[in-house]
Amino acid sequence: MKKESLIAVVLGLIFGFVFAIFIVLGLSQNKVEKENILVSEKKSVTFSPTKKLNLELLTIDKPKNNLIVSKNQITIEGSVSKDSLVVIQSPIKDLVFQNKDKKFKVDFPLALGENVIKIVVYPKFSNIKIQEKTLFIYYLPNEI
Amino acid sequence: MIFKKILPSIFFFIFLVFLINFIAFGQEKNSTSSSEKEVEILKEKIAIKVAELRQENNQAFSGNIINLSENLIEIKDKDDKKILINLDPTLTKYYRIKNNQKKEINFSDLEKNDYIVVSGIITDKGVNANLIFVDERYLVDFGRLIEINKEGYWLKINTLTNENIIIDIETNTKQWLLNIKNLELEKIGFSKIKEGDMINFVAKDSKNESDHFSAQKIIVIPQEYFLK
Repeated sequence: MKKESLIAVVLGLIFGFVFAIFIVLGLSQNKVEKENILVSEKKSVTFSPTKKLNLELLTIDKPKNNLIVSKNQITIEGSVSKDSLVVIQSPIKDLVFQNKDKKFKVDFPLALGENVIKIVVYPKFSNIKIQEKTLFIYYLPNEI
Repeated sequence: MIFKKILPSIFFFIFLVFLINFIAFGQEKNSTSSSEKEVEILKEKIAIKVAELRQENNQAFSGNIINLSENLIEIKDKDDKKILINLDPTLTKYYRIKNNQKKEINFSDLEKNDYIVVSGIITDKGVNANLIFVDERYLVDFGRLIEINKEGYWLKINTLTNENIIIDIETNTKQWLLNIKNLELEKIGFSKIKEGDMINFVAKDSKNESDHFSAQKIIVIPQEYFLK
């Protein structure tokens, strides 16, 4: 083989090799970009909830725990999630109702002496935890 | 003649003296009644203030008597905390509550393990008791029904704190079931209660010989309510 022909073959091989590397690199970069787009799309689907749950913890605004009163009735005021089932129980009275609004306000009778009043909230959705609070109210008419 | 001329002047003078006396008396009476009113208002204000201060400082404590001596009681409350109650022989009054009525009793009527409600003022050395009521202690709780014993008429309930409590259903236990359609409470019998239902109950807070609590009343929330 002539010297010129040999140089032409070597140069052709070098050009071909460089061209092949460019093509391979370009393809792999496209693939990574596509995968990144897919992952970000998946992430956006996972972290954007379509429905927001309005959860309200059981809070009792009135009366304060361990209160001494001189009347045989109190008003219990508080708030819970909408449509929860509320059970208020003491040794002398039971109240069961479904609250339509967040706030609730009920009159509750008291017995002479110590009154243990348990307030239990069963949420509308069964996957949400049941909540409860206990009030100790003292009806001591001689005291005040 | 002179007497006739002087007579109207004398009458006028006497009248004047009476008038002055009358005015002076009236003024004195007015000033007395207004000062009495002020005293009454002051008394009322003091009474209201004293009542307010008593209300602010008074606190209620309850627990079972663990020690009893002449001027001192020691109680253990629901959290097993010991509280010293200082008694004043002239001030402290004692009552027993039964059937929502109170009856005055003496210090000598108190016994160890009695459940008492004390109202008084808290100090560094304990509570200075004004009133002591011997009362009944109740357990008001709820949980999921995990076992029914139809022979022994008892229910095992798993509470929110993961404690298992057994309650006896007595002949006088009031049993209510929530109607899930209209949310009204309906009277039921023992056979209507199912494992998995939620039970809200009131029982006397002392165990019987079977180591069970005796239920006063129960409210059953059927498991179907939560499947809606």
